[in-house]
Amino acid sequence: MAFINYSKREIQLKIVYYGCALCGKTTNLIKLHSGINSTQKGELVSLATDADRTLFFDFLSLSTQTLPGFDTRFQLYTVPGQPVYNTTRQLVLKGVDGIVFVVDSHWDKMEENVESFANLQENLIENHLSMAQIPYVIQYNKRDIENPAPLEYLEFTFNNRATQSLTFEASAYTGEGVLDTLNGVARLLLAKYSKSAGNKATKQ
Amino acid sequence: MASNFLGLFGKKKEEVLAPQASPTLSAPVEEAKPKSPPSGLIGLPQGRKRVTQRLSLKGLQESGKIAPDPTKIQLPSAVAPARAVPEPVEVDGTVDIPFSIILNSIPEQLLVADHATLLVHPEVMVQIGLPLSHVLSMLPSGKLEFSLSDLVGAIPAGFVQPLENIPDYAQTPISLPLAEVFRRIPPHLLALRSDQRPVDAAVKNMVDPFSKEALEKAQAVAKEKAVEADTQFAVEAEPAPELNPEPIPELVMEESVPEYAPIPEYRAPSFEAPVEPDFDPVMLAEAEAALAAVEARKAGVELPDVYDPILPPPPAYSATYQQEEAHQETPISEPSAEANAWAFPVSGQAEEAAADSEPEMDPALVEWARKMAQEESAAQSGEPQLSEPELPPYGEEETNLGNDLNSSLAQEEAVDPDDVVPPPTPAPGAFEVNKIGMFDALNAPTRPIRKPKNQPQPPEIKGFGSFNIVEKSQEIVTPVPSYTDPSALPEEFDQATPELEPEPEDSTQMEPVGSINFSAPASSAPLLSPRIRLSPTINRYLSLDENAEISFADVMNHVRRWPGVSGCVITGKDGLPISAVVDDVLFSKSLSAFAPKIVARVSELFVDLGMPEVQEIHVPMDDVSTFLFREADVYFILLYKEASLPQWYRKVIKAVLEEIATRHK
Repeated sequence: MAFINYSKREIQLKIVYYGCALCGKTTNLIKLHSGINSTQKGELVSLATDADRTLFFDFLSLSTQTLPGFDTRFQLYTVPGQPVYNTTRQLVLKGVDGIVFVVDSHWDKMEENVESFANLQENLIENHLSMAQIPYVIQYNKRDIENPAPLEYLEFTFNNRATQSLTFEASAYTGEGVLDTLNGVARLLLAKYSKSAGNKATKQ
Repeated sequence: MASNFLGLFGKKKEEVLAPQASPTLSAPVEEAKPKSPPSGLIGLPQGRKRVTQRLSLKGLQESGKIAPDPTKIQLPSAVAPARAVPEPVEVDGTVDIPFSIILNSIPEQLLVADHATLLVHPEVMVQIGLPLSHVLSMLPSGKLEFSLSDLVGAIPAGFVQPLENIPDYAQTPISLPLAEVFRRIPPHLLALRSDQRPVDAAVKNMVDPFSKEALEKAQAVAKEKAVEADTQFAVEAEPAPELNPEPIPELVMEESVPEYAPIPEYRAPSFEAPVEPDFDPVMLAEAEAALAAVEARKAGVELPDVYDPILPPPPAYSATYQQEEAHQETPISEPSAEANAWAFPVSGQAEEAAADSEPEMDPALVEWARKMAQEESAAQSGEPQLSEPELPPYGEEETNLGNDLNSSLAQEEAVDPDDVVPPPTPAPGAFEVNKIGMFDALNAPTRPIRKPKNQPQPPEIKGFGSFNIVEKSQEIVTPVPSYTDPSALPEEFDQATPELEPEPEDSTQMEPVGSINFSAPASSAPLLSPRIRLSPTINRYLSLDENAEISFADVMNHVRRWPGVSGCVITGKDGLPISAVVDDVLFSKSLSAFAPKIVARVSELFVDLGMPEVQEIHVPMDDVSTFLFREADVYFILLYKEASLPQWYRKVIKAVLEEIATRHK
């Protein structure tokens, strides 16, 4: 849930990068951290194992001015993708405002992608949320590999729900599409909270 | 038996040897011609038909393994209008893939021969028709699986062992390559559902919060802020020596040093305590002169290239240096005339120098230099020094008002009155005498910077901030008693125990601890990490030979052998395990990751309550209790089967942890 600090005139929004193991969630945050101006970002906190597998989560804070008079601070989290860390994923999803679901474009990872997407829905239910409530975008990552899964298949598999979601092709390793994905989910969030703010103002 | 499953698949075109690029959805069903089986393979039974009816979804569900969810895929019809209510679409037809692809997917132990042998047979190029409805229903699952019994009914006989021989594998799911199957599916069957709500136009048209323009704008704002900060810093750091002759109060450091002297000695006793060196007046004077040079350069004074603004420049050793060396013994508070001769040219030379460097010279600095030169010349001639302008005689203020006004106006142009700091007034009873001495000592920028011969180097600070720089010869080995014998423990270890351990003596009911339990691992025992000599002290704590080379893993293994201990982890403050002996590797990593956070958080709350920092946390549980120990940046986690930890366990762990923490620094 968005946290609004009126004294600091700051809005905090929590975005979680979700996906199967080794699909590139942490790489997304690393690229964002290296590509965004230092005045807009905080430190990248990453707790990883010796093999660079995310142990609990990564955290990156980005701020920008989008709503007049308010600084908007996006807090980006990743989750550990390994199935055994489901409790950690549930914890990270608490209070989530927006989700970036990262899909690995390897054919061999399709089953894991689908399982991770199903796991995301289950964990949202555990947090009394649903995919219909939470703005989310889908990032088709690793598009630079040889013989990636075609977009038609990815769209047919992951974006065939009642409400179409924004999708982005990306290569987090090279940084391509990473910022576009963040902008996409940020736009969704800002549109959502602008609407809710407008509705409240109308009621008052 | 397999005839029923033959119906699950579509046609099998045996005559087509080349892969078919475009799928044929409605090819006529034809009867397969009997073929002789490959040599060494099992052929079809006589009279068996290869191609029968088409697959139905119900049949698949009955097969037990594949249970497609018809609600997941709602394929639109080709002519369906947009936003029409979706209806399940019956898709007829098959997707034809070469038999070689299926053959490659079957595990080799289920085949009659290895893959290489079977793949050279011409029959592997036969096209096998997979039911399209089933394939489409499986696509969103990210995999395409058929049970072996289903496949056996459709593929040529003689490749897979008879199911009678492998009954346990009849329902084994065989995963077919999704990529190969997908590229043979007609694209129009992959259209998204027609009733899908599109993305909100407001979202699409919104400006990106992190666009390039926004980033550039943020960078520009950051630059402006940086420039403002630099300007503010430059104003705050305005060079004071020219305009403020007495900047002493900010530099009286020697009196404030004793405040930091009583730093608690919680470091290892074998190292020297950090020594704060006394400030050498000569060094202080040189540093002050270098600072003045830096500030003069900031003010626009052009210095020679050899003049390093950071480090004091090496002085020009004059021929009379040996004679001048005697002046080193002169107190700095009484600088001699020779000593001041370097600072600025006297009288006419000062004007020349000012004229030469007029374009770059700051007027205030020139004025200060001129005044200093006059003072120096006055000092040479034995006249009293005038550090302040002469005041007019009493009673003449009014008559000289105009002249004073002019002179003060001229001064105001060069000197900002706000920057003039009045001379410090010593508080009654304060360190007046010392301050005066310090003032004289710090008034030495006019003293020449010299580097005398054989000047003793300042003592090297050792043991300050890092113990690793202490030489081996300086290490003092503190005798440490052995803790294996509880009676030999120091008295302080027997003091009151925390309330979490009300009855530590209960542990005596456990298995007695003997030398066998605490023996070091045998030399033949496998080690988790290379052996190193951690510390002879640790060896003594653990009753090991002092010269035995052990590793962290050895220490962990040793502790793990204690009765009742089910695991132990040692980790750093970053949460990454240094060494761990826990059955569940993931759990050990979780422990190591969470322990520093738990201790830090609890400790923080305790400090907020005005209590000391937490060094231990005992978490009694029914089955396995957790005990967290902290020493500096090293954490030790012990998993113990009882709710209370034996006292001597705790003592040894704390002693070992303290030693490791000291070494870890």
